[in-house]
Amino acid sequence: MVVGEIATPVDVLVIGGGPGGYTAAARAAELGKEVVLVEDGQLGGVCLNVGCIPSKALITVADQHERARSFAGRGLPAADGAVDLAATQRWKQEVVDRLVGGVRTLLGSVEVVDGYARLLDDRRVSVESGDQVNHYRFDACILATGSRPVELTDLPVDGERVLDSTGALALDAVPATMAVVGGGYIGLELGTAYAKLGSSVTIVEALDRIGTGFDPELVRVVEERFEALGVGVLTGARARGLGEQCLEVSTADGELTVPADRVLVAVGRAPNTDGLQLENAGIELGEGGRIPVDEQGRTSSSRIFAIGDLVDGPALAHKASAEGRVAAEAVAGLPSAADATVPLIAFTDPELASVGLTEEAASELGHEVMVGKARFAASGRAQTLGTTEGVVKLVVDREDEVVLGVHLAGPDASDLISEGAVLVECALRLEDVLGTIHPHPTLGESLHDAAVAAARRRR
Amino acid sequence: MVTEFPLPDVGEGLAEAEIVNWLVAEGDAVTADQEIVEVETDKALVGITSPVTGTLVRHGAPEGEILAVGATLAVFEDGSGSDAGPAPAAVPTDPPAEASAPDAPAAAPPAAAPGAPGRKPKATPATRKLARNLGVDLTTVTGTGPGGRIVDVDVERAAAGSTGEPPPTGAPEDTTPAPTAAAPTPAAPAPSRTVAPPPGEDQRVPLRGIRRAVSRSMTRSWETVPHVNSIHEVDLAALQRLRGELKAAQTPIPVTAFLAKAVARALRQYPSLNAEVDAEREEIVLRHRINLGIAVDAPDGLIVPVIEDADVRSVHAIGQEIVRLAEQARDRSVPQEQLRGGTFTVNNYGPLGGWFGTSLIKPPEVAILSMGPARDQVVPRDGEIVIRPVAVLAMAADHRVADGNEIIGFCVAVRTALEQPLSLLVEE
Repeated sequence: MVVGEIATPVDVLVIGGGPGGYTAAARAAELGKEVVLVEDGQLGGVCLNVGCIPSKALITVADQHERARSFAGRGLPAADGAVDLAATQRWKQEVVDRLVGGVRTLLGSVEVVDGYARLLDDRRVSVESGDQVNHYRFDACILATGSRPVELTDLPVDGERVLDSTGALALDAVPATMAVVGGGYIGLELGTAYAKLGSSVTIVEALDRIGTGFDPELVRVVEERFEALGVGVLTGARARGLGEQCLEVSTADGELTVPADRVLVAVGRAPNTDGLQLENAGIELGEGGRIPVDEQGRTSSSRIFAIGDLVDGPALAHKASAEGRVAAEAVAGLPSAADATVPLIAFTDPELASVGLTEEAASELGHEVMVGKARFAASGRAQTLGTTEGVVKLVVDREDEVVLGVHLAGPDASDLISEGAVLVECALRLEDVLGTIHPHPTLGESLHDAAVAAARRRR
Repeated sequence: MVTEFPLPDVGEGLAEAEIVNWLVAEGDAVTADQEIVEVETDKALVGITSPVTGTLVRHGAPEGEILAVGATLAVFEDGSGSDAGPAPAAVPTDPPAEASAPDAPAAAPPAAAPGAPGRKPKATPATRKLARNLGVDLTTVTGTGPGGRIVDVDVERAAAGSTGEPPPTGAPEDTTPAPTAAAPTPAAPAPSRTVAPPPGEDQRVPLRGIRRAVSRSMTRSWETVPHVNSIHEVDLAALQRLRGELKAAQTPIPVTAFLAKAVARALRQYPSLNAEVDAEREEIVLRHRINLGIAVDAPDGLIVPVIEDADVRSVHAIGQEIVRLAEQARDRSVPQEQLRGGTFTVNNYGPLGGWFGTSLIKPPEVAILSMGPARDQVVPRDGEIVIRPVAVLAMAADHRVADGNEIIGFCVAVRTALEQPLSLLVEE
């Protein structure tokens, strides 16, 4: 490095171009800041390139394939034959490319720099692009480098037999057998998709239940569906290592093997903090290797913010983008705060979605609650869609009747939850739901039905 | 019920404040939101209001004492039983609702949806945004909307410090701590100079902290001090050359240090500009020390830390002090004592750009000198047209104490010193 090297001054420097980073950059630019966004891979981050979007493309194909077969007895011509996964991959990539292009448009005046950024101190970063190193001096820096899949020492990802989620999304042939290590939402989603595409799938989870984070009653719906799809679930089971076309697993009952041409390891995500050289800015890591921040995302260094998977909370794109927006507004001096509830969703079959407090969490916080439930089996629309599995649960405070939580397992739950999010975020009351007309025949009606059920629990 | 009221963090990350003036004596009655004491932080004089209606039993500290944030500021008796009403401001009525406390989600029980909040204020996002705009902590607001919902008017009332309509049930509710703008809570946003109003609506931002201090001081200056200005151009070619050499020798010295040194030396020649006006006794107080205030752009606004005895310090020592003060100003850690006792202010606004501008005198001082950025200008020298880096020196002085001859003489002395900067490195 040259003494007296010039650092380019910039108002806001964003490190990472995923949903958190690009939202922060776009918002900061909108607020009149001069913004540089540094990304060493593809704009759009994990979500757009190897996460939410490609997995939804794959899940949609698997779903349509399975649905077409299930509709054979309902008048559709028999749909036999296998899925051409290579064609699916091409389509998936077209979708991704189009959306990545959209991010570039969205970024407008933001200068996007292809490079690897490291903090030099609490005001400067170096950016390595090829054999060039440039320095930037920032007024504010927003760290948004996201996370990567956690690896297991006994099952190192080799990209051949042992895959992480990125590898599992890029397969161009359906494996005959697949073991999924990890029963969190990523494992459940991809396990379901490959089961529908024709794999014989076994889910291996170390905890005593799958779908942690969701109401157990919702997870039960998914478990029942797994039985119908022939997906095996082993809980309290630890993956020990690879065997001949199998995965060796130990459980309380002893050792066993799970057939596995391929093994998907989806046991969680680790924040990408290693390369940032946070120590140069005096930032220390907190619990779980994440960066401690305040309500605006500000780290212990007042000019530096961290958002998304780098900080506490679920590793979800919509959480990251909400935090990115808040951090950008904080940088611009606006009194913004990340105080909204983060909805959780999983694209399982049926989909799971949850916002606000579960029955159990509400009770622990001292709320006396009324719970109203409605099953999709009773919904005319669910019946005519041919997907009747699932339930809507409304958790309501008995005293003031404010809706504390909405929990869904069922068709299109990921879309239906937005109504629940408005209810919870605005602290609306049971009577507000009862007095709102939900059109017929729709899946959304079931939320109204759950409100009616909750009202019956009034004393 | 007797409650202790701790000194709130009235600034951002403030550690302590000085008790300047008790407005309510021990044993006197107070009403909620009545201003009880003025405290001075290193940034501003701040009034703190009573969290309760009742009696102020005891002062936590006498006037002149410095109190740490969190130490007991005052003890109140609110006249209620021990079970009545919540404790004042420091203890919100609801458990802290911010699940976003950095370590909360990780510790959440597995059944709680990650990202799910704890008990949160019953208010819509729009109302919560309004509360943040007005610096109101919702955990301390009682909602008057349907089902106890906090509505916009509750927030506006809390921000205005008005109790509004008394709650129908009377006394016990009176003890409900209404956060007021005058008793800022830690959640109160620092008024920022960069706040942009949300599109389509006006925004009312309370004058607090540095903004209020600047506002009061400048109003006093504008209203009471008859300003006279004098503008000079200074050729900084020699200074730039010298600074370049110093930098190459690994001993860089900021421009402001040379300016400060030049001013300090010139003030020795012109003592009436290093003075105060005692208007009441119709006297001019000539200050025996030359303590230079250096205007520094801090995150929350302009602050003016003081370099004492600048006339006897070397340019190098002044430079080091300025670098340190700029760092401290940035992270808001300038010691309180360093913000007092200035006798003259120097303002190098060059880094901000512009060309020339005048400044307002900071009372009780009687003069301020500003310097703008050096820009290449076409100037005649010895009958030739040459290009020189030229900056503007703008002097503002209190015409009650000084006239043109002194003011211009002072400016010329400063200018001459800056144009022959080696003289400043030589101790007299």
